[in-house]
Amino acid sequence: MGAKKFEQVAQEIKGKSILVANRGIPARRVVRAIRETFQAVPVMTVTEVDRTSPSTAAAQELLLLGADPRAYLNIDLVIKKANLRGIVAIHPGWGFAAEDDSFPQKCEAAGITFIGPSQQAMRMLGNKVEVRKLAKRLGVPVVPGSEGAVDVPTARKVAAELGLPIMLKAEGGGGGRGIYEVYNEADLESAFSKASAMAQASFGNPRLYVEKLLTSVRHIEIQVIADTYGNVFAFDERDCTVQRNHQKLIEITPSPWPGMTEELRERLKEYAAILVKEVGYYSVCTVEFLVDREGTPYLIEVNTRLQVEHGITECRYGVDLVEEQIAIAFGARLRFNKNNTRPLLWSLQCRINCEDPQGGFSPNAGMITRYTTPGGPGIRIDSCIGPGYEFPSQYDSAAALLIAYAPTWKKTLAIMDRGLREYTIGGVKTTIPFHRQIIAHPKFQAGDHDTNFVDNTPELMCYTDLEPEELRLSRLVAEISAKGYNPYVQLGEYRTPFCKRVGTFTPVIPPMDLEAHDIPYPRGDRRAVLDMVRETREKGVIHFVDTTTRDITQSNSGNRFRLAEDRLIGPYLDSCRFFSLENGGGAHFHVAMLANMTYPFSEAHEWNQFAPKTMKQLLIRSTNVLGYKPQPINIMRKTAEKVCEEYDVIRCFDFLNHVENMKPFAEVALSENNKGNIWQPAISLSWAKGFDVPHYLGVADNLITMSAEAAGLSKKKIQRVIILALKDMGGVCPPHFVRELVTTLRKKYPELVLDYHRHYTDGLFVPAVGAAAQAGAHILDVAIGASVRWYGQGEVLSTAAYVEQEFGLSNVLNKKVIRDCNFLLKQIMPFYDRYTAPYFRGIDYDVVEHGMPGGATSSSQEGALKQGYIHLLPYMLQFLAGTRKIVRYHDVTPGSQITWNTAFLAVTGAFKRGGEREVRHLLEVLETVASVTDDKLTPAEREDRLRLYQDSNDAFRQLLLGRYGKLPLGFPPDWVYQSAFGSDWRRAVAERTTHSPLDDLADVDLAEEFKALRTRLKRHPSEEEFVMYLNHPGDALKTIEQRQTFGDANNVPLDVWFEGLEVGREITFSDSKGKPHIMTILHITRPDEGGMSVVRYVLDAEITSHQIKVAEAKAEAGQSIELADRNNEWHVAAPSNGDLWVVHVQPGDFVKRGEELFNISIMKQEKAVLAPRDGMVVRVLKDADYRQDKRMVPVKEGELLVELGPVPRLCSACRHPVTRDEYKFCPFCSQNLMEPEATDGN
Amino acid sequence: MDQGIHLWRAGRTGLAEPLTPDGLAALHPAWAEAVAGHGPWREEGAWLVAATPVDTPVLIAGPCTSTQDVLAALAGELDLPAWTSLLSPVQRTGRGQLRRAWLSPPGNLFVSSLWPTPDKPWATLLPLLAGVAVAVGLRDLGLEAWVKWPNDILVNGQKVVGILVEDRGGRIIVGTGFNCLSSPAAAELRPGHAVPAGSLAAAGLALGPLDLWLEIGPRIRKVVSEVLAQSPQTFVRQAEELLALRGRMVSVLDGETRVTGRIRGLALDGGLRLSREDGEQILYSGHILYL
Repeated sequence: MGAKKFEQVAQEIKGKSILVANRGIPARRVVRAIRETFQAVPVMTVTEVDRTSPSTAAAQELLLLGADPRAYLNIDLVIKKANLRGIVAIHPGWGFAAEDDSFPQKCEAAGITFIGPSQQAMRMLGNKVEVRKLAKRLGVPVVPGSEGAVDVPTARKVAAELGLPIMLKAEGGGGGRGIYEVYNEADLESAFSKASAMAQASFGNPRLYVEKLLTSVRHIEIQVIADTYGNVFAFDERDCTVQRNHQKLIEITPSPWPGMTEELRERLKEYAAILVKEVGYYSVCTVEFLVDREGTPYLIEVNTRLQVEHGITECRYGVDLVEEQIAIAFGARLRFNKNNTRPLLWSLQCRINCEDPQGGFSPNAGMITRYTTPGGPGIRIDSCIGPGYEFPSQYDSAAALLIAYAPTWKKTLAIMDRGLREYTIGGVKTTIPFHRQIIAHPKFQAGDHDTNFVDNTPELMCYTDLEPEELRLSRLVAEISAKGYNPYVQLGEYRTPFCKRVGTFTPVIPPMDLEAHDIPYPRGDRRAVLDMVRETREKGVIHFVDTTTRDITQSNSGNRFRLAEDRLIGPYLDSCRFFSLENGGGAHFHVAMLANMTYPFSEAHEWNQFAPKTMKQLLIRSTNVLGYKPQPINIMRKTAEKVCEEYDVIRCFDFLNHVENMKPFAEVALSENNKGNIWQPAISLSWAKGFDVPHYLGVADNLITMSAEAAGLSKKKIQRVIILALKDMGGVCPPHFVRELVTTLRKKYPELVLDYHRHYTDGLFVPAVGAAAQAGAHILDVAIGASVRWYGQGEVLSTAAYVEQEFGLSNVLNKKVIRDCNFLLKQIMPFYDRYTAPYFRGIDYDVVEHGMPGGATSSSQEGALKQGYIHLLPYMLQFLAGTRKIVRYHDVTPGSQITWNTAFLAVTGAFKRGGEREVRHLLEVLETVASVTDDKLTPAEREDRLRLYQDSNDAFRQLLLGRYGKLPLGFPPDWVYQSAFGSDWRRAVAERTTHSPLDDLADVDLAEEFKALRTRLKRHPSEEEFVMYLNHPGDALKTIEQRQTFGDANNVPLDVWFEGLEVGREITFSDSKGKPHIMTILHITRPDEGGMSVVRYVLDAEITSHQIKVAEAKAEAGQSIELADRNNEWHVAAPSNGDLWVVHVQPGDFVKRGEELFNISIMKQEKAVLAPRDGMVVRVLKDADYRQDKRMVPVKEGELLVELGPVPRLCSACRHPVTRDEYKFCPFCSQNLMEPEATDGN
Repeated sequence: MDQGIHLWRAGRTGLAEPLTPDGLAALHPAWAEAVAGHGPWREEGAWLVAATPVDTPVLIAGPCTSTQDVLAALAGELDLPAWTSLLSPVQRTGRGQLRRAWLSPPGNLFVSSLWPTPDKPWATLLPLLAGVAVAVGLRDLGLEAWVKWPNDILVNGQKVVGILVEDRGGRIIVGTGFNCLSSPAAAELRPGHAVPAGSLAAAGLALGPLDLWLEIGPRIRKVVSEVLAQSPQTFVRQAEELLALRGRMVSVLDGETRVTGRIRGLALDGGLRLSREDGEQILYSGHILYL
């Protein structure tokens, strides 16, 4: 038979049936060539599970192989069926039976053309020992080693010649299997016997040969194609050096390695060609080499089939290897030669597998829920998946081969990076993000890597695998909609899906006044700003700070503005010509994270973009910084540095006025690096005996002295560069007192700028700030009308009008913009008001007696009401008034909580002892003790007063010991200690200290903390995340996690945020990149027995669904299983599919961390599942006791089996158990158990 | 804990009795031989260390409930490295799978080993791997050992080794009971047992418990390390070669259900492939009975 031309063969094959005996990617690849080149009939083998796989799409017919998933290996079955079908040729693809050398023979016997090499040639090149002999004979270098199989003495001799380390390789092994590395001579003998036994067991052939073990090598291979007439063509090399466990991950042609010279390339091609020619091999094959650092090649093996990575060679040359291979099998002459087949492009392939690289590359079968492929110039995809495809677990994890090609290496890398970014595979974990890590790695880009690259480069594993933000946000919307309330704002189940809605939030945006662009304050230079304030004040101009977005709207997590609403009103506020906008700090910081999933510093940063003109201000709680407990100095400083980047005015208070507690912050704020920052120490103000003008003058002097030290300036100079704030957080100081205080301060420190900050609680906001203004204060804190509530500041325009009309003080405010801003706020506030806690929001003049500040009264009332002590509330307030005369400090965070708890405990304690009668008696004693000197007390009264603090909590006792800092008027009398500490009181008195708590707090190891956070996140945390974590570790992690789960929740419209989305309504929202998305909920199912509801919705054009747990599972849940919430550390799930055979616990049991809860048999491995933490067993969802009833209960991976609950929480104050999870207040002592809301807003 | 043979002389109440070389020697002639052969024993705190060098920690505890319990307890406390093993001459409540009793008279080998925790794909394959490793080890020592799925070891159709793989809080602890010198009589076996018990001595491998472990322990370790460096699929193919009863009709009892079919081999995830009239079924639990 003469040599046929390709076209002849093509004509010959046309319309004939050709079978691909394979599945997945190779089957699809070959089928495509059969169809497009030859117009032949492509037939594909399928097992049952593969019948509907996407790969079958291009096949014209399927050849059914039955249920056995391994039937692709059954050559006899395949040939039998092929014969019956009238198949003329079989292509084996790669993998499965492609290298079984009986395949060509059996095809021939059946009269079918085998599209591949002859059996003879396959044996010559495919057998490692044979090919090695052949190579040596032809002068092709091989890895030095023994001549064929050896015995132990020969092995030892060879080892001595080669030097260690060596490898023992099974003659019958391959593909990285059956290799044993030997590093010590002593191990040789035992390794040999084991390797031999294993080889016998594995391959039915115990024979071993010895090879030198090469370290630091590249894997370089040459693609060869040859016809039956002895024409051979070798292509440029493929570099497959990026591997894991001998599995190739990425292939490149040509090699980007600088050591790959033209000379070496030609040599390798020459070696490959002579091997192929020598044995008369035809079809395609790949000759694989290892190349060491010096460029010395060693032949390792020849693959006698088409390879996975053949596509990159096709892209480099612009050829189709498969059509050529098919034609050759039918006798065509090879068309390729050096003249017509030249390398044109670079090409790079990433193997996209359904594996989780961060989970040890574990295979990941499941439903492909989303599928979007990349495209555009330079991209080729060969895949076997599609949307909705249930990726099977029976086969390997290869999902797609993504190839990029371009004229340069750099462009190829860029296309691949772009392609990987465009590629979306949802529902299963894939290697896509891992490939992006590799592509971005400088060593990879430089070609400077070896076969151990993946193992030796752990940073490749540091990435976050996130789904698109719109999808994550849509799940949040679905969850709020199904529940009817937003669980993340932490207001409880404040509404249901059936409640009447406030309505759609479509605000009317007032036109921005373009004239209002000038701001009188020279932001960025503290000296200039303060000079300007002083000079204008001389001329009768008073200045205003706006607190609308912080102090007014922060305490209750429901009414704390989201960044989304800040974005709306911020630009207006920015043009109102306020001195500064207080938009951060205090409880605001924490609530931003907790309730709004917002990063506080990113928020502040954005503020400076949408409101760039006006200074920003925040509030710091001295040692507690932005949290609730004292922080060591280095955390204070670290936080201060971050704060100074985004805020101009740093207000800092201490509830004891212990000025040393503020010093680390002062040092940072006053440093020369931060010359735009204005340090604003605040005096915490009460109005009571002892807390008089001379006392506060002393505090002011201390603050000035401390600030002067921190700045390294004189006491005189410092007064010109700082502001002193008078912080009347309770709203208790009467106007006459304020007037007197400000007058005295102004007189003593004429250069010092004063800011008066007070709350509305006593109803005297306007006269009091008026008095301050009249007496010479420079700055007053106010807010925009629609946001004003009694617990915050007063209203700006009325206050400005009052001081103008009464005292002739003018201002620089832009009243028109203020009105516009107010109009916008009027549209926003209804949503926040509706879902704010309804407790006490009125005026209470009695605050001047009891001193309970801001939001603390409403949360206190809530506590008393919910615990059934509302009838005792008047007594508690009376107790507060009395105790403030005995133990003296200021009622602001954390002092306000301590005072409240003390009163609550004393009053309820007395009530338990003897009813209201006893309470009244206690209060009489208190009144007497507080008003009479010691010597006038009767012995009975001296005895009775010891009951006053006998029920007090630990925080109160810590305060008495001086652990929060120095008490402003000194320690209380000894009997207080006697009452609070009992018999131990003398030791308590001896232990008291007046040092700053900072003196005793050791610095935190920041590097270690950073490492801990990085480990936890599996990626590098941002600086901001780190500072968040240092201040509120648990809640920061929660916020970061929520951010990863849902994206930026500020993109959700306001009404949807609180009320969810009604079925059928369409909303448009933007993602963080500004791309708009449309979402409509189609249907929300009724909760099933497991309490699960499915929300079906359209997101953009795609219909998808999200399952949400909206109710508790019914007791007798049917077939549906309840999945454990992976983020709930109380949920104990089945660790994998298996059989539950014994459960050791029952509801109500207490378990210790590490105790065995239940045991699952997984393929006869017995997995003890241990309690993840101490707790109480709440539910046991499945029970088993195999030894009793010989029954095992099948369980699914992730199925909830045991739910633990906290060992009833211990109250942080009184250490009594808090028996119900939903309790916000300790039923015993009324300690507020919800930290952020426990604050009074400061 | 360093390499070498360590005898836990202190013991601990509720866990293991105190142990002396003399006491150990008195329990069985094979132990007497081992005590003499590996001495002298030098003191090291609560432990005595043998003169024979060994390249992993091999611990010997006094009579105990089960070596699994002792090793689990010590592993956490002493932060023991992978491949630490613990032997005891006698177990009072030695156990097999599902807490079945394992008769543990002196003279046989009861040993628990701490395995490295493998990647997730191996999770379901460990019992099979344990079986294959022991079988290969025994084959190395000249016995034709087969693995009855998933990990009973048969020699001449008799069960000579039983294996229990436990995951205790993320630590893989593999318990192995070798019938070295004696095996339970038929009457002592659990009703419904599948195969008769045999001893290694009867099959031609007459080693005492400690010496057997010093021979086979490192072999098991080596096999496991090598297998774990390969792909799970490769391993399953290798394991199939050692699978007992391939092609035989069997009946598999799983709790109270019984499935009958012909053993075809192993599924890629280690399950037992049983061909039945109505198609193939892959089993993941139950135990094999002959038909």
